[in-house]
Amino acid sequence: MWENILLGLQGAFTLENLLFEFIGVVIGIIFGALPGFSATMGVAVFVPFSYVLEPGAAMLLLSGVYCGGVYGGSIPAVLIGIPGTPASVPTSFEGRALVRKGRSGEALATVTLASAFGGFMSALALLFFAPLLAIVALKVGPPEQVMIAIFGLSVVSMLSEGNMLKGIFVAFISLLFATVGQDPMLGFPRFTFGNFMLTGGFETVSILIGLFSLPEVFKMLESSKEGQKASKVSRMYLNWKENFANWFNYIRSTVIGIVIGIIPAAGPDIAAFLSYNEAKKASKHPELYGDGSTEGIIASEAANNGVTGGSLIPLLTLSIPGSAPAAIFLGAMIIHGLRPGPLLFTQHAATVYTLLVGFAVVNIMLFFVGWVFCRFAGKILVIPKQILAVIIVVLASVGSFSIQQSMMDVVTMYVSGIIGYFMLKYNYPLSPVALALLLGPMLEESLTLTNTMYSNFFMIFTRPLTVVFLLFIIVSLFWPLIKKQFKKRKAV
Amino acid sequence: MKNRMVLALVILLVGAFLFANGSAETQSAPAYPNKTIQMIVPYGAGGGADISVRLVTKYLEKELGQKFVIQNVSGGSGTIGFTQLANAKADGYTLGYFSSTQTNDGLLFEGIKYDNTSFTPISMYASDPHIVIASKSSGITNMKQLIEAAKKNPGSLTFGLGGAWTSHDFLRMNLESAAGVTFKRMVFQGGAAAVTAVAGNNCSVAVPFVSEALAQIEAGNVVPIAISSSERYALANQIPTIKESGFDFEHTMWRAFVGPAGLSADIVKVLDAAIGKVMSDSEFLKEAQAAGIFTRYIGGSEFAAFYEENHQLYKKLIETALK
Repeated sequence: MWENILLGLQGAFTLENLLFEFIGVVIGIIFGALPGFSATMGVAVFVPFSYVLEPGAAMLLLSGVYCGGVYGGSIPAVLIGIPGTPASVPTSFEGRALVRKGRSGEALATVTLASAFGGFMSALALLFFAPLLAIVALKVGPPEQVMIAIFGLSVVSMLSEGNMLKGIFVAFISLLFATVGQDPMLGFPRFTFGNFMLTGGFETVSILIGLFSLPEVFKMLESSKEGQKASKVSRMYLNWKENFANWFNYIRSTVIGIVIGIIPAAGPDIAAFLSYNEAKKASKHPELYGDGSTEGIIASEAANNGVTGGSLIPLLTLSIPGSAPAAIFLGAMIIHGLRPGPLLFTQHAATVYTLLVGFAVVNIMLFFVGWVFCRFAGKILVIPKQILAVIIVVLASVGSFSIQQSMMDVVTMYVSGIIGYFMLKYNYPLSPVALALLLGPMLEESLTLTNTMYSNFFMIFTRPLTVVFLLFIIVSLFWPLIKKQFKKRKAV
Repeated sequence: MKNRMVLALVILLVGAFLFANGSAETQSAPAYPNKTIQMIVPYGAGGGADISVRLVTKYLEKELGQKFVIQNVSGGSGTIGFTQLANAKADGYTLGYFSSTQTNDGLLFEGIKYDNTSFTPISMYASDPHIVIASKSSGITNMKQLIEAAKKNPGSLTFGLGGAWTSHDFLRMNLESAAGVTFKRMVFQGGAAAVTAVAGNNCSVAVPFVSEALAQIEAGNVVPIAISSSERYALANQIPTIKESGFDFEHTMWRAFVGPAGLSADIVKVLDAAIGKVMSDSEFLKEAQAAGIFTRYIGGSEFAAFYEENHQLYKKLIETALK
């Protein structure tokens, strides 16, 4: 093992490979930071480019794009309140508030540190414990996936605090929308009204692009006079004291990220929501959430970048992609003749360990590249809002189209953007839509499969992991109530 | 005065330009292909279809001396891409990827306008076999035991598929009618998920493509039972074919290039010849094997006949299943 790691160090630190890691990170951050372009898309676009590279360099380039993309999405989330990727939605709640308080530099610095930390730790997990952790992926069957989906959906209750009824209503309607398209069991189209373009359902990413970016654009246009005033850009500044105080938050969020990464079908977006939710519940200052809580940023960022390394664990060892970008990664590996599996680590030791060590290097690089990038990106705040609004609309349109080169997705984006605007106006929360659309298909599929496996549904409680997950859900849901009781007793 | 001079100059220039253009057109058109060719792949970048198309076109570019631009039009479960291809101009500059089952999409999905007559078959370049695998807890180690287990408890042996109406599903239908059994379908999103379920003992049997299953076979998490092609697979030579296990049975998913309907015979000939040449290039074959592509070339009238025959075959399968 140590020999292999030395081999990897040698590979990852050649001048050429360092260059590709750097290029990857830069491209990834740009892809992530542009609203409408996601990490998945970044990796997909660069897979064909990687075909012509040496296998090691190709994998490092894609790793850079992947990690950079997941991180980059949080930059616009902080600066203009538009998450660059769905995984940055929780960050946008806090970032926006911090910018309003003139603490944009501090917010960006925390995002950068938390992302690099989460990514680096996940890279270490990948390097040292991959075969061990891959077992988790095998233990998670359909019944466990049902539990994870329900756990994820339970976050809706936190996201809609204050107007619970509206939040739950939005979540249910969105779950209904998630059923449009081919029925997973029988394969017949549902609710497509004879339109074959809907056979694959609505494209979740375009809905989310529209929902999270267009309402912000409309708001910018409404307040154009005020918007002409340049916002203040504050210097990049890392509040060490606050970050140190959050050490447990860092660890918990990273672990959530890695575990969600390992579990197939759940990606960085769900990890960010879950971790944000847990952090808020554990927080001493939950009232700060939504009003510029650094804790919230750390939770969501450490978790979504924690997914990156985590999702490669089952991919490399057992050929199970742990997230959407990881699935594309798989294709790139195969075309380079690197077939994932237990033999990969012996037959292609040099290349694989170059990738594993390089993945850690990428995350260190991410911190420094991200820092410099943020200093420039902070200037977005100076751009007059009218111009910014146009740029965002163009990016959102191009981004929606490029997912699968379909005009249908662009229309979907605009319609959901307009709906989103009115939802905000009438005080309906938007984020339950994201959770329901991301988790709906997973819930439906795993529920159908569980039903096929067990004729008696209650048999699923004979599975230890299912019970553990169920306990998590129960404790997580009732924790705020229990905490209140404790406090009351103490007061008495 | 000055204005008039400018105007004259412009007219002169435009005239010269038009003349030059006109004279260029009167020359005989250079042989096909003389510009970039669009290749529609109705599935996402990095998937099995995309990987194989990119590899073949890389070598085709050398043969034909023109660039290929791959378009991953992946919406509507692939139907949008196929519709685009069916509606494209039949000038040989828009071609597409195609596989076994698509000519019958109209039977399955509302609103589909294309069928077997909407495309011009060019040549087949690959044919992927499935591997029958079983979970360790099922105790099944060969085809005979598999069929026995299915017969003992009709309709309760779980059979993992990579999706409804995919090649996996059709293999199941064929196997059921060949052996006179029924399985309990478990439909996953993709073959890899089905393999994972078998490895985790959540599903008894699955029929993934070889590339989806090899990792778990090597890790010893699943039991390989048989391969669905007519010959054994070189990289996993210990696995017998289904035929060897005593069933007259073969099922592969073929991949091919097609054009829109009405592609001229001359263009098809040029493309087919180039693809045929690539398919015998030893460098290509080496790269294809490393990427897990099961190359198989059928071209010319032979493929055209195969295409029709295949359409009728799947039509019958789907119609029986829908009854």
